[in-house]
Amino acid sequence: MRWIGRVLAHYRLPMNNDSPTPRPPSRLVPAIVTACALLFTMGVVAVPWLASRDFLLAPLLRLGYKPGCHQIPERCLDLGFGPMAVCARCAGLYLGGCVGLLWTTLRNRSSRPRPLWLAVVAIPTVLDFAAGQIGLPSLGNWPRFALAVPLGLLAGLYLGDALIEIVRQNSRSYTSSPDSVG
Amino acid sequence: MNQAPSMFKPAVISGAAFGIAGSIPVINWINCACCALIIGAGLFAAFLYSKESRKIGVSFGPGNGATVGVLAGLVYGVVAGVVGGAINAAFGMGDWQQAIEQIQASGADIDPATLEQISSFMESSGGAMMFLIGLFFSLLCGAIFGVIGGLIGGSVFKVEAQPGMYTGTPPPPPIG
Repeated sequence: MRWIGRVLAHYRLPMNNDSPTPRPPSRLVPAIVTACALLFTMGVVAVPWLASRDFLLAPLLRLGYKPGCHQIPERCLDLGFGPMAVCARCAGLYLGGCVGLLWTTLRNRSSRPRPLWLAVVAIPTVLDFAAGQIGLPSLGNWPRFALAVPLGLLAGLYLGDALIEIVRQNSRSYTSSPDSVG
Repeated sequence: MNQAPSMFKPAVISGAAFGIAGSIPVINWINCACCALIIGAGLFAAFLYSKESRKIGVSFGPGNGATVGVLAGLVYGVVAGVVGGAINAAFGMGDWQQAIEQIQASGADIDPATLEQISSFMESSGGAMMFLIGLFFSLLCGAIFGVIGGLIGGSVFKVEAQPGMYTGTPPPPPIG
């Protein structure tokens, strides 16, 4: 049985029941950030729906999405209520980001893909963007949306990992602080 | 024990480079994709800082990434606001009338008399108000998206603490 002890010591795992098992980090902060991201993303669909029902604040809400997107109507997805509040590419990025954040929050464990994947999933979106800028034929709205989702997903996973890491570090420094004792 | 490197240099280099890019009329269209230039400024600042941290032997994580990202975003905001304002003033672009037209085109239900009042106030202030409003929004967006870029950068370019590495946490007090 000595080999078990050697393996545990090698991987620095707790060897007996007296040592405290590390508690999973609090879900509160990632959950709040995910809820805000979901609200923001739902607003993208809600704005044209509200506008189709002559809601007074709908045009102002649409302006709220303006700093991050050109909002050209021909490049926005239309689900039957009118063009969404952001273009297809931004909608894909937002949706992917939300899924990534939601995945990390529900698991309460960081999923950190290799950084190379971030570059790989960014290439199609960058090429499509560059093609549009230099006047080459660009993709349609739905393919552009589909290409942006993986990039948003990875960004969301990295964001979730960052949040979990910050929460873990803060809780660790709080419990190890001498002021928190007694 | 190694000291954590200064965040000032990576934040200024990244914020200034991306801020200049963000104030050039055609290149700043990249910002139409979720403020990609500002997120890029935070990400690049985190990359520079992680490189510096690895060289010195200091751990680097998302917390540092967020801090250096917000600094880079603020530098971006100042540079893009000032250089963009200068370019707009030099080439006569981005006047208040354009902003009014954009608001009207968005379908916002604003009283025309109110718009007229705002428009005359803006014209009497001689562009200074437009510049200050632009700078304010540039700083606001810079701070928000810079943090996002810095957080992503902190996760992507993470430098794990090695035994004996400086982590920023003080050692526990001696027992007894």
